[in-house]
Amino acid sequence: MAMLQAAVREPGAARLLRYARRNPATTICCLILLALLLVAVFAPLIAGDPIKIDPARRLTPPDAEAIWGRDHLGRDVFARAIYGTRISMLVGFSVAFLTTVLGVTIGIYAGLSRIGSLVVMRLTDAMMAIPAILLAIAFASILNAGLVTVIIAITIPEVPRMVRLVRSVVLGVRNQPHVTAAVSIGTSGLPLVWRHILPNTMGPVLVQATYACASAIIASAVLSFLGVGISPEVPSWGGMMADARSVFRLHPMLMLYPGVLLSLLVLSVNILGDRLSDALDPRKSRRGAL
Amino acid sequence: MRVRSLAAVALAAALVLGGSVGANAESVLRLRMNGDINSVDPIATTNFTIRNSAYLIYDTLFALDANYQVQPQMAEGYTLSDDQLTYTITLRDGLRFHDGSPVTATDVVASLERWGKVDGLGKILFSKAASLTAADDKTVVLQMNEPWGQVLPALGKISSNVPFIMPARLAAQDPSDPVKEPIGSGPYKMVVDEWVPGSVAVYEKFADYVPRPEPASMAAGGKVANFDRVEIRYIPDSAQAVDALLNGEIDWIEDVGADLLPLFDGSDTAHIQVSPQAGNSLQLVVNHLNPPFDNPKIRQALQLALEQPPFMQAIFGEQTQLYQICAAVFFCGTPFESDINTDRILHRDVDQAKALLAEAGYDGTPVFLPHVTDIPFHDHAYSVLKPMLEEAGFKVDEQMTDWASVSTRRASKEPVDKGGWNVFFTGWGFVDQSNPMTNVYVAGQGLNGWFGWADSPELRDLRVKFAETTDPGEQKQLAEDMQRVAYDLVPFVPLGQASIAQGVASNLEGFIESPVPFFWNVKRKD
Amino acid sequence: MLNYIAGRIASAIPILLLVAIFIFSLVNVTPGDPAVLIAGDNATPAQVEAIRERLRLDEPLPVRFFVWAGNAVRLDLGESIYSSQPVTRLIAQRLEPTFVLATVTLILTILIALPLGVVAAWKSNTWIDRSIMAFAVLGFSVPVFVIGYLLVYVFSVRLKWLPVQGYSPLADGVLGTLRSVALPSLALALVFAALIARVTRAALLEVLSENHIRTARAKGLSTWRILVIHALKNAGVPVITVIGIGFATLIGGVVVTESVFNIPGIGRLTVDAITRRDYPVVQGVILFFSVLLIVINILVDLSYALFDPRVKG
Repeated sequence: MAMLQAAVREPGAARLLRYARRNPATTICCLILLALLLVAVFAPLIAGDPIKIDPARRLTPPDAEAIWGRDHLGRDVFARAIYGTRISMLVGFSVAFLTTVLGVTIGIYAGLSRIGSLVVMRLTDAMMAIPAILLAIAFASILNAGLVTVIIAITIPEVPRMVRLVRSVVLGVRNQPHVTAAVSIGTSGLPLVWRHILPNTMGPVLVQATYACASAIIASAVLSFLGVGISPEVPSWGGMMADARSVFRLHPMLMLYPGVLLSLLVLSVNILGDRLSDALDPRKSRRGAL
Repeated sequence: MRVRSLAAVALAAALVLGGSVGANAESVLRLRMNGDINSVDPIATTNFTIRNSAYLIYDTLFALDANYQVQPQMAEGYTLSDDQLTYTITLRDGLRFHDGSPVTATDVVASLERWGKVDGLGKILFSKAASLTAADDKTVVLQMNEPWGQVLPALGKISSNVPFIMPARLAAQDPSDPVKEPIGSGPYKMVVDEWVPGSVAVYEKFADYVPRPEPASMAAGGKVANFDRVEIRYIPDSAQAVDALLNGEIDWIEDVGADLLPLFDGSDTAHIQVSPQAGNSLQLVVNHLNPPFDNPKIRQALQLALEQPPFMQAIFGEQTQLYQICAAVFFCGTPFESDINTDRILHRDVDQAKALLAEAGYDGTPVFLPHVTDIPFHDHAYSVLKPMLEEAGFKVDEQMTDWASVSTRRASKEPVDKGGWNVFFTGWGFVDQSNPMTNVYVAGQGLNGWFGWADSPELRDLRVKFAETTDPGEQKQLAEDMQRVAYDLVPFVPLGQASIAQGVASNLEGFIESPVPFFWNVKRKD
Repeated sequence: MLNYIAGRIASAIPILLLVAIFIFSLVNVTPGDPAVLIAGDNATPAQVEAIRERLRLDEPLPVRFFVWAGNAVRLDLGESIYSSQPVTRLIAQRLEPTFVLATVTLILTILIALPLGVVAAWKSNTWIDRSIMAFAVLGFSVPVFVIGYLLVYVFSVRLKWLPVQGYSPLADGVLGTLRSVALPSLALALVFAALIARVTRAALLEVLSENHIRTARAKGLSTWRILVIHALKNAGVPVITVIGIGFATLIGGVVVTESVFNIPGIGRLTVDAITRRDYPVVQGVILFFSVLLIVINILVDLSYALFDPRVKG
């Protein structure tokens, strides 16, 4: 980040601490994300079995074994919440990654080719005319239930936004002196893209990818909540909240645990996105990518 | 800013204070059934929600009273010839359909014939009948080939398929072609313009309905409609439905899940009404046409893979007073209860199940599970079923869906990938299950039978014998034989017997204890 | 002006066509025999065949598409598999709740977001600004159904001020309707307002730094008047753009909210239809939403003219 490129050379750790003190919000977010990532990776070490049902002990309050109690099928709520981190992060990062790869590729093509631009713009217009969540639900229902399905279903509506962003950046960059100079000496195709176009897109793309990650995490929770996509026995925060619906009044914590975790994760990612956006262009001051 | 915030406060106040929930709720009865009303033809389907709504708008020739005796309903009376072969039934005066036309014997004949094409008991009736004719506008004549003691019980059947009477022009349609116009002669009529499938079905009091003079007695007697309007609301979230009931937004819930019973503690707007007769069993129906369950050994492995307690616990939790473990095919607490051949069902043996699968040459064909999400009973059951099957060596393919879709899909005899099915959960009630003549699982009728299409000449034979005998000892023996054969054949797996806990607004009275919910006689307390 | 409208509509047609093709393919290249699904209960093979013929299911996909599209133009979207009712009737029945919900949400959103955005821009970089922005980020980070459940718990269950679920039609009284959509629209508005507040603030800040604003300041006009009269007007363009694009997000939110609060709107219809594989309804409704979005976008483009006479073509 810009801040880190301080003119004064300090030892790394001290520099980090200074940054942390100046930007408490960002630091906290990064720490939260790191913590959740570790939780996701080391889930088996932290929690018990999230899938095993125990109908005889359904909805029992917290005890030594299940520190957050059990759900309507007797499953360990804490374990499911911990393992649920995996699904959310996996979906978030996968969608962000796929959206980036697809969006950048198609967007650069659209930015450089006149015909490509025409075609791609019409297609993205068409796709953005269909409400994203409906598209995602439709895809998820049509393909077989599973994580891959959910990732694909959420990625597809996100790609047009990224494509448009990249295309507009490319259109702007195309007319800059270093690019026209390169073109005039005969650089074209892959080297042109690689050396001149791509680096300029990275900033906005990174910001957009971050927001895409956040909205993907919410989207996957919504899909699970509506009963579409992931099989109900796979522990996911959305699924946990859907299960908790029918007992919300008597056991509100079953909805709140996953709800708070989900909000925390999404909040951290969104704030990170804001900070990245600021760092790349402080003038823009949190316009948000829409 | 100031003006705007003042307006906001005023608006908020108005919202809160303005109007209690449903100011004219007094004369509207708002019901929440288990499923949704997506069809108005109770002959084209056995779906219980459709059946319940049909009782509002249709009437029957005969009906069961509280002692399970058959009484005339639309019939004024009947005579039976000395040779027991001719039934002459006269209709009551003043019967009208909702479109204004009078109910005639022709309508009755047509309706019964249509019913007879799909209902188990009806089919037997018509196979033994020489003719069913309208002698004149008010007289129906049923001519039998041989004496049969089940004629009136068949015509007075209380549950699916109920022999409802509709106009002859509508009854002329084949039963597989659903009737689109809900015209009956019952105490309420459907307001089709206000019907929103997936949301609400609306009924209005039918002014020209003439109730019988006697007091109401289960499905028989005088059906007095005390409300101007009845609404059947579809609220898929059961907790929300309970909250709505407690809040006075609705008046009745067909089935309050066991988890939600504690919500009623201390409420003075609504209370729980436990109905043993309206209770169901939990049953897993098996399709004998599609692999892997086209193989009898694999079906028996299924019995070994399952046991009742986890299902009952998942559904009822601590409310043990609402269920019992029961493997009797004719229900427990009934004359024909038995425990013959119930070992595989009552005892789970994963190893033996796996061995049977191997013996049968199970090739890993997945069992397709249509996981119903809008009926808690079924929802919990599927969640328990999946791991139990997998542990016993079955492969499973589960998809989330809803009851109405399963209700449609179970009719398909196609392979699974063409819209067919392997198993689904259902819950036949008390009345049909306890009678060997009407229990669908001991019919053995193959492709002509109820969903699952289990074929067994031996069962058909036993039923014929049962119909012929009047000796109780013989009947008991035959019933036991039926159970023995059925549990080798495995048309279904019984997974527990339950009472139902209904949620009822406390300002209502007049509910009739019955296997089927009825809403005549119900009224608001003064 | 008329030319502009005509031009926009003309350019929308190929998009609509693409959308139609896309939806149709999506829904019709799924496994399973649609004729069996549509035939439903107890159908004989003869009846299944009859349906196959009537719907021309044996014909190649492009032919079927043109049949469907041709019918759609004449407002015949087929019949629902689930309830055998015409799709157009199902949509018409559910227009009112969704429209009321969306409208009230939009009004609440503007009432919440604009003041917040203005105040945040006015007091930019103070703790007021930072709190408002923090609130905004929170608003679109919490899923709308979590907010919904919390609101229901507080206002319906505990305080008993508002109904738990359901929709009361306008015909039964406006007050009843407003009460039934109060909580769902509030839940949605909180999320939507979070987005709008951010954009409003950003757009206002941009405008505030422009020359003619500095001129106005130099002339002695108070910051307050400048913000409201000049800046807001100029910031109208990006804000309306966001409202237009955000409408797609709004529909997404409406879909979830209708399911949570049991409001019989088009969103609920769509979700139910998709999970039930009720293809005619799915096709019809997604097409409907797309047309709606396109129309909204055109309206958004047109309203630019109101805010900025320079933009007209």
